[in-house]
Amino acid sequence: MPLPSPAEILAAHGALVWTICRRLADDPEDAAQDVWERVLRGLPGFDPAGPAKLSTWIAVVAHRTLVDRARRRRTRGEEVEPDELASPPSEPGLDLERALARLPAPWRRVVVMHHVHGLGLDEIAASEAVPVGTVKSRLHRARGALAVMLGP
Amino acid sequence: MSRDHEDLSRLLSGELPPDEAAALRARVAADPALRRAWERISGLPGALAALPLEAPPDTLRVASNTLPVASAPRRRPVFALASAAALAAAALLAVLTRAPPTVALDAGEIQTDGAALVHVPGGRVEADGKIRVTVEPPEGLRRGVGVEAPMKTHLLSAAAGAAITVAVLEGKARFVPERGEPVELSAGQTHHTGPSPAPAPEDRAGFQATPTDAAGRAALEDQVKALELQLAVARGQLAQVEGTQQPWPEKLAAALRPDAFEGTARGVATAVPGTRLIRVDCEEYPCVAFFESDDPTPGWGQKLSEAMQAAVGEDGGVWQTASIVDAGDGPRGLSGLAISPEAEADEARDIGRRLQTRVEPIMEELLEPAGAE
Repeated sequence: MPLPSPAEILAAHGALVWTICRRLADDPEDAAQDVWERVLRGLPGFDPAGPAKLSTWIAVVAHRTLVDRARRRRTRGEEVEPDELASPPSEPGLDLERALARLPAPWRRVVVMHHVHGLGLDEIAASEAVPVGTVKSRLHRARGALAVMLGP
Repeated sequence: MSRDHEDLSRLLSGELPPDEAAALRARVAADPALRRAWERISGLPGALAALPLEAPPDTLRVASNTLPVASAPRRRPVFALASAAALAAAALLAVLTRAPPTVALDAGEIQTDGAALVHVPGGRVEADGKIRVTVEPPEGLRRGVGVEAPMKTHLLSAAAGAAITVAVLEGKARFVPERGEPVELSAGQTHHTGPSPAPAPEDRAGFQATPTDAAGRAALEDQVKALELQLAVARGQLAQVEGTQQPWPEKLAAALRPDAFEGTARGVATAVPGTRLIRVDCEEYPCVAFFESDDPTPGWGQKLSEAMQAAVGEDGGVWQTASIVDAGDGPRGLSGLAISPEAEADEARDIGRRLQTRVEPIMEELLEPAGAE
């Protein structure tokens, strides 16, 4: 089964990459650029006959790219990604998108990549370079915080 | 958020011990507020999965049928992304950048669909419609158009002269040379600008009778300068393609030092079942390890990469080639892995290019069937 051309992949999965970047990156346009660069570079290593769907593979690449970007910014002291909420959520009644946006970035990456894009927790742990237990903890905290923010 | 909310999430995932789960279920049944929280948490997976994808903004959209594309060969190593695929990627990424779409095209062909600005060697094309722009660099400069530094290549190509063709299929275009007057083009028109005719080989090689007058000497001096420029351009281009040898960092994790890297790589091979370490190359920084598997399971390359990262820690950037070949006796996996502390983007790209230059011949050698000449 031949791989689609880069232009076909861009057309078919542009919304996927953009949506991931829009939800998970502070600068989604630059992030999308980075993701596509990695996708195009990594395309020769993708096996279309393998078990992973191209969309899943692209989602993993996008996730790893965003993790790397966050790590680089941390290394340069430009950003600290808190793994905690600065304060308990105090704005109940938010819609889901707004509530997601208020989560700490590491929690948001886990809940979005797991529930929205269907990645396994072990796969997420590998991309985040943290133990699976840490990913589970972030998932439970994220779901708990979302439940509060979505409440009456 | 209370501890109860997190426990409700664990209950949803089936991670609570049976006695704690039963106790929490009883509290949920008795406490209306907790019941509402449970309903919200248990509804989250479905609500999140139903969130729609969003179309990228216009500034990130590309008319896919107008882009030059090239399918990369499947057996190429991951960072062996030179030439055709890189050119396609360069144009693609450039178009993705900002509104109006801007492309730095140093070689090859691109067709716009709408308003776009195409930077070409020696000028720019202000396109408005379906405009085909072709850039043909001079012979000898056709390698190494890379996604990494398109503008640098652009300047090099401009210095040496390139042939530019602008064909207006629909709409209009304006070719604005760096020197000279702009040229307005409408539908159906084509504009071509080319380099000065190259001197005949016998002229370049000096086979003609050596002139003795001042004018003849001046002409020869001009030829020497032109050749020196071409030589400098070609050397710069070559360095850009091959990367430059990297100095060993003063501070480098012990696991990555040449005296310890083989041990690190052996640990990686042990961590991924069915994997053998077959070669280590520490001639230059960073060291590269080559792994082999007779039964590469799906994700084998990724497992290697993860094991290497785990062995070294978070501060490493991993470069990897991964090839799975089948010569008729079953699949065989080969992978080259290198890791280096995070570097600035330009430095990292240079390391990647240098790794490509180093690793490609080794991978080719390792990919040769056993016993092949």
